Amino acid sequence: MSLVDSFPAATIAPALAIEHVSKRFSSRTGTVVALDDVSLTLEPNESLAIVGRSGCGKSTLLRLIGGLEPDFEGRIRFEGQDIAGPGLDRGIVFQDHRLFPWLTISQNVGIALHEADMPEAQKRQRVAEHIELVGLSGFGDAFPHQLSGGMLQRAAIARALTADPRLLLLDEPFGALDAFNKINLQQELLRIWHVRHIPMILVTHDLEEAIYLCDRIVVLSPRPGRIQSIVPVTLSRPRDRTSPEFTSIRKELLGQLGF
Amino acid sequence: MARTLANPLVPHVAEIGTELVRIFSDGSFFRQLQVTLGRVGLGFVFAFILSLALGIAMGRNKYVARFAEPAVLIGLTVPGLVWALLCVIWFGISLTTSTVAVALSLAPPLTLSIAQGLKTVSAELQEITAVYQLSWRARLRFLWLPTLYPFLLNGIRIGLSMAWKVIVLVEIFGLSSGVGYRLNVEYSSMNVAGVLAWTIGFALVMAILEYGFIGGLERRLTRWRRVAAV
Repeated sequence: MSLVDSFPAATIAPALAIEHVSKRFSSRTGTVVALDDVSLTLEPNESLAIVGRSGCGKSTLLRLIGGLEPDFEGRIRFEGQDIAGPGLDRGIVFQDHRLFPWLTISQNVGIALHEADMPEAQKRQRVAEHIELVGLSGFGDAFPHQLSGGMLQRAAIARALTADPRLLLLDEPFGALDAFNKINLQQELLRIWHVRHIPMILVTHDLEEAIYLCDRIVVLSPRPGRIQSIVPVTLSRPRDRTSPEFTSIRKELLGQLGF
Repeated sequence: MARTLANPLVPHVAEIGTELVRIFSDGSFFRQLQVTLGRVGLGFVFAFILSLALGIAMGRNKYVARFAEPAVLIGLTVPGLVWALLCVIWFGISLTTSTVAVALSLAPPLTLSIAQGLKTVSAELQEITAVYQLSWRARLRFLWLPTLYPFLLNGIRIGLSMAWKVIVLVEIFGLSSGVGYRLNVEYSSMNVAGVLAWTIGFALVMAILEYGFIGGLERRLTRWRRVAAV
């Protein structure tokens, strides 16, 4: 009997390994410990939510994984490699869409492939495919100011996926949307996640969103940011937001957060 | 006013009109204009490239900013007349004189404008260029230049008006062609109508440049903007 057969789970390397990560922000008024000794792994194809009160360091953790904060203690390895700055292997979506206002939607999505070694025709096709994937067909030539908030966030998701990342990072992606748009885009994200088969990390303060979308929910406690608990969600998808199981997980999370 | 005063110092409108028709019809206006425009254009291009490089360096690096700021501020206060005089002395009668004089007068305000403009570059979009690993050329094209367009257009407007003033001085002092040279010739023969005709012709060209060229450029570069309906 081989080792692989006896330990099937252990042979799958985690997509992302966060080991004893701490992050401090120093300013003239003092030092703030944003993250304190955080360890976490992300399995391939897993969707992980990070929730917590504001100031718990959840966005900081995502920015560290994205390579946008250079100085921290500990190790973050993505597919076995230490993270050294941002990279096309990790797509990021922020709360603000961060599209260039002077570029059309197609051009904005194309930014992700600008440095790719690929013929122009192929780039155009990839951009068109992703605009279609997020349901924005026909809006490729529009400027951002011509679209609604929900559509802009769709475009931001398209941009994040176009370079074919192997990890999707979402920093409160639907935080600025109205309730209906939010539900709509959560369903869309779930559909896209099923199509793409890549792991994703979702930072959110919306518990319903976390339970609806993710396999595990990490609860961070604030000042300093520490992992308080990890709540698995094993409900089958698509999840019914009004079911008793859904509600009980929500209740548990609210309790964890001290409500 | 000119109608009622009608004397050798303030010529009659008709006199200026005749003079205008003369310089336009015998082709001398366009010949000289071409020479002057060429000189302005060349100086402008140099000033633009220098200001863009220095302005971006100053906007992105505080040490460069501290180092270059005094020079820029001094450059701002030096009158165009002084640059014109110095350049004629240094470079004599050559294309270098006009180019350097125009470039030196334009570069300080343009640099300052660009350095200020760069402070308005969005940190959020800056991160996006980092996430997608854009080269510095792509960053220039997709982030810095579009952010700078309003500042550049403003710089071009102010710069063009300054360039005219300097080039005329250079041509009066040191060159034997161009609109400034013609102005000097008319001045020497006390032909006030001639001086006014050349000045008016010049102003017309300026207006065409402003409304036709710069206005068109502005509409093109800012068509992505949302226009409020109220």
